[in-house]
Amino acid sequence: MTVTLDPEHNETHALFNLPITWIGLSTLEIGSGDGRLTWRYAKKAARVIAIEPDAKAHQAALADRPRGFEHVKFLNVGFDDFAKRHKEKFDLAILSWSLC
Amino acid sequence: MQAESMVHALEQIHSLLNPGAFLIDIHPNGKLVEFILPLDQREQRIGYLQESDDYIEYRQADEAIQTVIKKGLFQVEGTGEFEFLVHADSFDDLKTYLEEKWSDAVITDEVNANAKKLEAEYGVKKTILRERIKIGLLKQL
Repeated sequence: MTVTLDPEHNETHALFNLPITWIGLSTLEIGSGDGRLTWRYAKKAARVIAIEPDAKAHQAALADRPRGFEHVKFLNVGFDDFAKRHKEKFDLAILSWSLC
Repeated sequence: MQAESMVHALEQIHSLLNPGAFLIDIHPNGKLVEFILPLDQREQRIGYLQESDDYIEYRQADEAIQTVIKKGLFQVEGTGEFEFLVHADSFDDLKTYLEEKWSDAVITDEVNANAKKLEAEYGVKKTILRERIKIGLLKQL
């Protein structure tokens, strides 16, 4: 089975067309899944915490980590738990298809 | 997620942001998602993907965003929309993918039959799923 998501990179273009400077931002991605979107923007951010409650998707993200992305930390946790326990504040949060 | 839970999540995000920080929200626009058969110079629509809850969560997400804006937690700094395409080698491959990744997707018998008919008619198996996605940049207030 061959299925390819957004090979046109429309999502990345839309993301980088937003009026925001990514350089130096500490970023929280909520619902990072297998890291598909994370790898597309993370190089621009200073630090990324990407949270995903689904263990299988979380493992896939860890397995697919490219070189040069050591500043990205994946956590297998739901948003509620994360928000209750985490004290650090971020410059940017990304809800990647996870609000609904 | 229910609308109230979405608002609660947005309020929690607000508290996790530095003053003046940003939130990017990406979610489908709630319009019907299309199955497309790509041809050389044009395309043929196979049909639409239905959802068991009639795409209600996307409208609820829009409402939740509006609620936190009205509460004075965020303001809109930018918006956009884009096509998100899923390319599959065949309609059956796409169905298998959807069964795994899109739990409330419904593919009607009519769409199934049309996919087989068009595949035979044009000799093309490749299939695309086309979804319209909203992207918004909100600034924390």
